Amino acid sequence: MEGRPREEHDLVERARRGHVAAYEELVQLHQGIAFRTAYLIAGNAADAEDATQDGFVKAYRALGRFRAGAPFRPWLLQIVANEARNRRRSAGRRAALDLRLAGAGPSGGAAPSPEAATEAAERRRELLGALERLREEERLVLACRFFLDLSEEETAAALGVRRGTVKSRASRGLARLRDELGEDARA
Amino acid sequence: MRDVERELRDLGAALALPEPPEGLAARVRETVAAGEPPARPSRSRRRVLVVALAALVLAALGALAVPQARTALLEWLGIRGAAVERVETQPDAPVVPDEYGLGDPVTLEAARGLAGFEVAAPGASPLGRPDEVRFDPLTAGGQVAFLWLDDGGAATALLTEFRAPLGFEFVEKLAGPGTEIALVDVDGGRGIWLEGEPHGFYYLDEAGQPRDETLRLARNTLLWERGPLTLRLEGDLTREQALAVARSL
Repeated sequence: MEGRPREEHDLVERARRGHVAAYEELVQLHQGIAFRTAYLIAGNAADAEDATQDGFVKAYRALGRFRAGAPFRPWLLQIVANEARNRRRSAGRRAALDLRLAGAGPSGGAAPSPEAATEAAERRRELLGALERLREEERLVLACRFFLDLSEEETAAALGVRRGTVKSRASRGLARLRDELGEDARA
Repeated sequence: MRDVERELRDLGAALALPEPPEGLAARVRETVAAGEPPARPSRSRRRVLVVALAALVLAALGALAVPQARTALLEWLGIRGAAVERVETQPDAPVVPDEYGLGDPVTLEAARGLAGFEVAAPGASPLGRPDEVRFDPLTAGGQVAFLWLDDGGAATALLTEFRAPLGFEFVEKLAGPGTEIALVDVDGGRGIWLEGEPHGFYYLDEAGQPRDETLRLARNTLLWERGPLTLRLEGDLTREQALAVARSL
């Protein structure tokens, strides 16, 4: 990761001058996060794919407006996320975000006992359920912050809101989750 | 109390969020290679900036002759998104009235959903309701534009609203000696009225580079603050008409 910003800066500069291969490298660097952000917003993979591709193309044409030396990712995410919102809006769909648990959870450190693994899976299901009952605006902020690991600035750019709004929606969402899960735990 | 933040991160790692499809980068490359290279701020615009910067120095000296106006103008430098400087000579105003570059036409409702701020829509005024709403996502926080069109579809007036994030974005407007500048009050907010000869217009982005701004009716203009927004109304308007539109928001 060392040296990434410098390298990215060079790629952006070359892309601005019309260097298509440099831009392709930038796409490769950021397509994962861009696609997942679009997926969370659009709610399905097909729209997310279109939004990501069109977003990257629009971002390329708009590179002349990009401030040299600024972080590229929030700027890009803003454009891709906007494409994703447009698609969802024009389809008139509510985003019924399809979040599925993968077969196995993350395997961190020592292999957990079967009991611990079962309990962890149960907690994840609970949390997912609670998350789905949140207001969408809160769920999206939490998903950007904790699932995608976006910074507050990036989350604000992607969702088209201010940073203060990101903060307040995140803390409201977390408080609701704690309320709900706390009660579940006692029950 | 459960550590919800840590659990959310764990959950994120356990979720089957899809990977980007194969070949996406190559398809983007093909598409961009087939089209135009990135639009650069136009040459004339960069020239405007150079002229403007030189003119600022002259203006700083020249305007001292009218201390009252100067003071008023300096106060205005504090306005979030906009600044006006009087210059002695007028650089070529790059007026491009037909391709506005304001983004896609949208419904007002859509603009409200897309903008990162509370959109103020014009109400009843001498101009009537605007004919078109556009949204430009490439401006930080988004920019919403309202257009009034004549029968031939040409814009007669334009209202743009944008948030100047963290005070970085800066609008500069060049006002020549043939332009009258007046400070006005818009519902208790500070406003400035520019009337007379056409004026050049450009944005400075966060790096101080001119933004590729393709639109300017560059006619009489009202600039004002409203909460966190800077609003700009321009067109074939009298001051009273402009203020009436501003107050209808």
